Amino acid sequence: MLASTTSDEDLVFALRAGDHDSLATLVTRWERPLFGFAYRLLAHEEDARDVCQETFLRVLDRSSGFRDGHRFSTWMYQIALNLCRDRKRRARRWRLRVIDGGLDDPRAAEPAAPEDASPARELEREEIRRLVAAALEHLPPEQREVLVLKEFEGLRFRDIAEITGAPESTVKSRMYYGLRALREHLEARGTDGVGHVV
Amino acid sequence: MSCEVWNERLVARLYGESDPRDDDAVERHLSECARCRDEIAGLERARAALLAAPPEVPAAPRVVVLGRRQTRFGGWTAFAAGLAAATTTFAIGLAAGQRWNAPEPEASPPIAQAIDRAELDRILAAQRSELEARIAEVAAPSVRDSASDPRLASLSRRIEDLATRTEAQRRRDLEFVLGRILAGEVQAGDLIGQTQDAVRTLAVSNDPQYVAW
Repeated sequence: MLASTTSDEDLVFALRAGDHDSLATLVTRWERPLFGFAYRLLAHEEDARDVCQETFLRVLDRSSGFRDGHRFSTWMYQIALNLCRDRKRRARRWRLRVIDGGLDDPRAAEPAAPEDASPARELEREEIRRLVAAALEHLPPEQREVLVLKEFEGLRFRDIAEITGAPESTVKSRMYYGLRALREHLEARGTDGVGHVV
Repeated sequence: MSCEVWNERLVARLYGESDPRDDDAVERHLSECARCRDEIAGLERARAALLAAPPEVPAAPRVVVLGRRQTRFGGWTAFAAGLAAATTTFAIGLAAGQRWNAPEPEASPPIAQAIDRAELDRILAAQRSELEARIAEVAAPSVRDSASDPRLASLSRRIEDLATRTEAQRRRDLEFVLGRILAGEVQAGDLIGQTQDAVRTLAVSNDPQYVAW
């Protein structure tokens, strides 16, 4: 069995060679960020869960098609993004079973404690969170995809370009218009998103 | 040069992914263009909003891989699998041939002989009778004795009561009509009598043999 420090790419190669434990390692590493990515695009927990499961299924099925020199995360996000797009068009059936919820991801950073944790500030923050979520919902899908991949998945523009299948300049353009639309949405509701009245 | 062409470079600068060859040009443009300075400040605020209040994501489900899928076979693995299958098939064929030529074992008593034929016929006849009785019962509910069925008895009483009341009303109606007819006939008779008297009176008064009082 490969060590937990084995790279994603080596795990895929091992999977291709028949080591199915490698898939379990990949799942453990990526199930949380993948679910978050799908949820932010679909805004639906059950759909995001299905996409998450199906993505790993396809990783298993298509491991032989994983190209050397390719990044696993890029490939995985590409699969997930296509599934998210397809999800909106039709339903799918899944074969992996979800056993429970709640994960302790050691990689996930603990959210920074807000400087001002007063109830009023927390209420304000919750309102802004709701506004931001609504603003994301109103974005065109291609802009939302870029925003999520960039801000929440931390991918570089060239990786996002590869995942979305669009030129890098197009990705940056979508990012620009997405951020601008987000700003306008918040300002139209009297806030800049960080607690200042506009 | 329209500021629109700087949008992508502003975004790249915002995320620290600008092309080093563009850095000087971008900085120079920002120093000269208030619109782009405002624009990048707006982008920074939007980004800060996303980071300060990211949409909540529910706890991710735990995904468990169940079972193992069949791996694709190739090369020596395929040969070994094929050889094993061929060997097994040969062994099965050999065993079947040996058994085919083996002497017949002592026949065990057939299972059917353990069942009493008469008992079986009796059971089948009883089930058939029960089935026929059930069919007859379901197919002809009207022949059932209402006395044995309280629902039917109640319905019969209601029907009889309705028939009685209907008959009584019919009689009353007939009496009324008949009475009206009789009354009409009496009146008609009276009128006829009166008419006859009038006619007689006229006839007498016109007869010259009678002297008017």
